[in-house]
Amino acid sequence: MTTLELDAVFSGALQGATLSVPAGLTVVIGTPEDGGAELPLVLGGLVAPRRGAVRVAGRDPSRTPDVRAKLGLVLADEPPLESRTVTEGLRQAMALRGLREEPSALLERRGLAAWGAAEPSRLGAEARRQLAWALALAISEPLALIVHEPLAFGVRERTCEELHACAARGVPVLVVTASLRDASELGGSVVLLDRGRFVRRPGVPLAPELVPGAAATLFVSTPGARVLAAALAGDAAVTAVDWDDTLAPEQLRVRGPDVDRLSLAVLKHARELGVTLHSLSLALPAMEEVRAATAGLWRAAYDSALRTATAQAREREEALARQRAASAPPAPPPPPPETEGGAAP
Amino acid sequence: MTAFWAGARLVRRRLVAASSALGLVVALLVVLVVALLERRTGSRLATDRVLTGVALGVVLPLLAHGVVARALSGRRLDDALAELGRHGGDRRVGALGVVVGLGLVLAVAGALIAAAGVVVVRAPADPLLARDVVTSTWIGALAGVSYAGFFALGSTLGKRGGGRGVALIVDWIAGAGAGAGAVLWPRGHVRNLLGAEPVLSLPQWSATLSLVVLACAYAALGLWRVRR
Repeated sequence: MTTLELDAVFSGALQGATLSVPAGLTVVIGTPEDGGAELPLVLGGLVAPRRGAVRVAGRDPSRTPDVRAKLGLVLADEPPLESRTVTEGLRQAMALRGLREEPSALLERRGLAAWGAAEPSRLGAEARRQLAWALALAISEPLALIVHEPLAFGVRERTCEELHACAARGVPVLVVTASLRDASELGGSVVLLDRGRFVRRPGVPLAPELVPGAAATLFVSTPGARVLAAALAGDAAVTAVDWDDTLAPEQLRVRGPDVDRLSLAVLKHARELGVTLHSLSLALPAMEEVRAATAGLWRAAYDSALRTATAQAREREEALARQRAASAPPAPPPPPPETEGGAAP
Repeated sequence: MTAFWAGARLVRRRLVAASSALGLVVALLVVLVVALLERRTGSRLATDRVLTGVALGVVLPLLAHGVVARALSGRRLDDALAELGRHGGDRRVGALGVVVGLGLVLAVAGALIAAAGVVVVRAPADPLLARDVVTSTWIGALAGVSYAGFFALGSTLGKRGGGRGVALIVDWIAGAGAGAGAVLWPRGHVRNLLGAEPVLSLPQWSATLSLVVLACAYAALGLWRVRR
């Protein structure tokens, strides 16, 4: 089975990044400054890392053209195709990838036929990324798909479906995004990229896992916001309720320490009051909060490891001292006490 | 083979422009002006001076440097092939297409520059005109090919292919002599072919051979430095 692997990779903003991406959807949350923009370049074989190893299906993509031909790639900043027209550029790209489909048919299928005769350098960044995505999807049996911010171009739902369809076929799909909302919407296995390293894999549900221990916030959309807010204000599971009668009269923001208890409290009161709930969604933390939580978790892990190591060292020292004491020769008997003024009687 | 043609097409696409034609016209004009001035002196060595001096000594290396830089968009050889590599093309094969394309372009440019210099200096009735034009044309073409390989190799050095500029300076300085230091650079051998002092007193046929071998060696080294 194909996997994408990074082994202690140093390249651009990546600082010793290690990751293994199996088949299915993996979402990396990280900004370009964290190495999010560099990651597709390195995995796509466009940049050889300064140190470390990159492997796609066991081979280095920067040295293996066959691997690159089978990699679907959408970069953060897609360069324009080097050709007079989009169709001409696509024809060359498809020929290099060994694809037999006509570029015009591909453009037609993706609803991009209007760009066929356009000069690639005149297309905007989003259009260039849409073309790269169309080309990535045209690969019949891709080794992997690596996409930067997939929900920032084209139709979100459609792109999301296409990513999941590829992942369901057993293709490793790696998505890099700086948006927690997009990561939450995409689902899949989530990995956090922080200052060039993959630091942790939060589980599901994503929001409380991103900042463990933080209070949960629920957005409740309901026409009976006033009565529900009044009922929730007295509930033990709720620590705060925000309701703005003028700006968002049908929107409530409910906070509490435990997301499960909070959700149950909202549902219980809504049922008791006969209030219809339009939606109930969990607020995602800000990226800064996630970073702070990561730093806190690392600090806690470090402190715990230090405490354990210190205790073990102390135990070893004490054991050694006991061992020394046990194996030492018996102390010589004390000399007889000397009497004052001459020999003993 | 697709990658080879993609590399060759890249050269064509980047060089087919009005500014490229203007560059060649300016180069030819410089040679024509200097040749006219030399013709006025009436010296028997005027042709040699034009060819070894301005035509193949100054204008061709400068033009070759400019053409290679333009074909690679002022980047390194491998960076210029990023798109080809991204879509699964073998960058090394693509680079071969680029070097061959540049060799053809500079062979034609070198031949034109050399022929223009000779035609202007020699009188139309000169019985040696035809022979000199033929000889200088193939020497110009060979010099163009070797400079294509030379600057392609230079383009693999430095973050943005700055090795091209270093190569130009080294060729000018080291290639101007006739000692061992001139052996590795095209200029000394081109001068030998045009009748100047031979490098290490080697015969003229060896200069032809040296230029061919150097062109192949430069290209091979340049390709070796490009990641597949």
